[in-house]
Amino acid sequence: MTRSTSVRRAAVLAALLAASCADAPRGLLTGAPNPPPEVQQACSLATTKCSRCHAIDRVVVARGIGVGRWQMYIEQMRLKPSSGISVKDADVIFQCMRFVEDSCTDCRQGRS
Amino acid sequence: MHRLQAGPIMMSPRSILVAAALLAAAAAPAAADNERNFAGSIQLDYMAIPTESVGRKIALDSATAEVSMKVTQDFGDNVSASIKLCVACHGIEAGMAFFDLRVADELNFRVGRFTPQFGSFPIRYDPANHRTSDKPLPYDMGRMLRYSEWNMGILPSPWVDNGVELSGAHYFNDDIRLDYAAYAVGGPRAQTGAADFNYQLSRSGDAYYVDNNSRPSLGANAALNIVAGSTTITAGASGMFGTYDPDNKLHYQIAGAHLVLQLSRVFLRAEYLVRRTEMALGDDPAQRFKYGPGKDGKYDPYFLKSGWYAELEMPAGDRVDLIARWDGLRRQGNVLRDSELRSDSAVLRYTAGASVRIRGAVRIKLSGEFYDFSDFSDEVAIHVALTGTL
Repeated sequence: MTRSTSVRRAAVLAALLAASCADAPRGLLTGAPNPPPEVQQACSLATTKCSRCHAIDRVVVARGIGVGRWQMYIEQMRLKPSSGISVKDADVIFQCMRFVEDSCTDCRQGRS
Repeated sequence: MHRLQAGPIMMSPRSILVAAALLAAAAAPAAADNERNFAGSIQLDYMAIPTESVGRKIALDSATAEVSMKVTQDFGDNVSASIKLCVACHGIEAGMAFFDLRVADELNFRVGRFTPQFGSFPIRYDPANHRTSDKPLPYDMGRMLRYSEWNMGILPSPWVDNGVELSGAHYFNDDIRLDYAAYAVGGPRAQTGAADFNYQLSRSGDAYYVDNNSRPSLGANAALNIVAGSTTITAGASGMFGTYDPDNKLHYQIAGAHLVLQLSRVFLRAEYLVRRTEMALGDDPAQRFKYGPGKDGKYDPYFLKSGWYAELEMPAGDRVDLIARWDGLRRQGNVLRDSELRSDSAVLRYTAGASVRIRGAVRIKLSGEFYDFSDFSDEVAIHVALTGTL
């Protein structure tokens, strides 16, 4: 393998890593207009924490179930073994989901 | 505030129908009842083995479906019940049926049929929750090539058993948390005079869903989680031991260690499992086994089976997750005369894959696997899977 090839491969890997480390909320805020920065941050944390055990898609398709049920789900997930979710994290994640529930008119109601 | 945990398998056809009816009935009013929820997932996976003309001779290839439906009902703040129906290669099984009683974060009792806590992967065993079509080799449940020669992994996942589990989580501060679990379950099974576990007996109505030797298997799991900004490190250890034959003579011990490093959305996971299993020597070991006695003139009744995996998972853009995995199995010890393995056999597997979100929670999983066997020809497997969750 030549030196230039190695450098190119390293650059591609670095670019991939950089892309994967980007903290986009990845779908949670789709359809929710003008989220304030603190909500974007909250949803970014939610995406990171939820992705630890399952694809964030599971959360995205469940939008519209209401804040009460999100409170229940977040507590359930916090208590999963090695969830990585602290009590403080749970509050931040709930802040994200509350905004989503309040603002997302495209989200279907009553989904579980 | 409602609190509970999940876990997963197995039942008779009549029980299955009753459970299905209960699931359907329970799911119907879910939208109107804040204390009940329904969740489900499906994966249809096609595995091709281009290095074999008839792949079925060495694996459960071609198309397989895995479907699960779960209903959880809360009874107040501290008690909940969960039941899950699973459809896969083994047919329809009850994946979970248990009650949880949560006294505090540090103290939860689980009673019924569930997956006891062991290692890291079983938390994500549902095909909708991991990015490859199949499981790492230590947790393989029949999807690996040469699964019959190897008798699958170390502890097939989801391992579903009857019993009781005590578990909890303690926060030392907001960033450091210790999870623990201790349990007594029926344990693995085999027939009298066995030389390894017989997994079919763990999910056979003919053998009843009861312990086969009047002695529970005991186990425990502990994991420390440290969060520093967007980085989380989890390190844990697990153990399980008991006997597995009806006469309560054949012992086994399983130990495991795991490490998960999360850097934002990038995950590096590694696990190592090892199982020491006692074999019945029988009346004439010279006829029963492929290899003779040791230097001391005695037959070693134990074999050691170890397994490991290391995988890197990272998102690439908004829809794609990439994964690279290296896993393997090694078996050391005597083998039955008709076994195709040797006294020291190994298999290494190299996997590259991607999980692509199509729409909503529908994904396509693609992966290629190269198998390096010590006792058989090398093989290639290609997976294409469609998964969905609700």
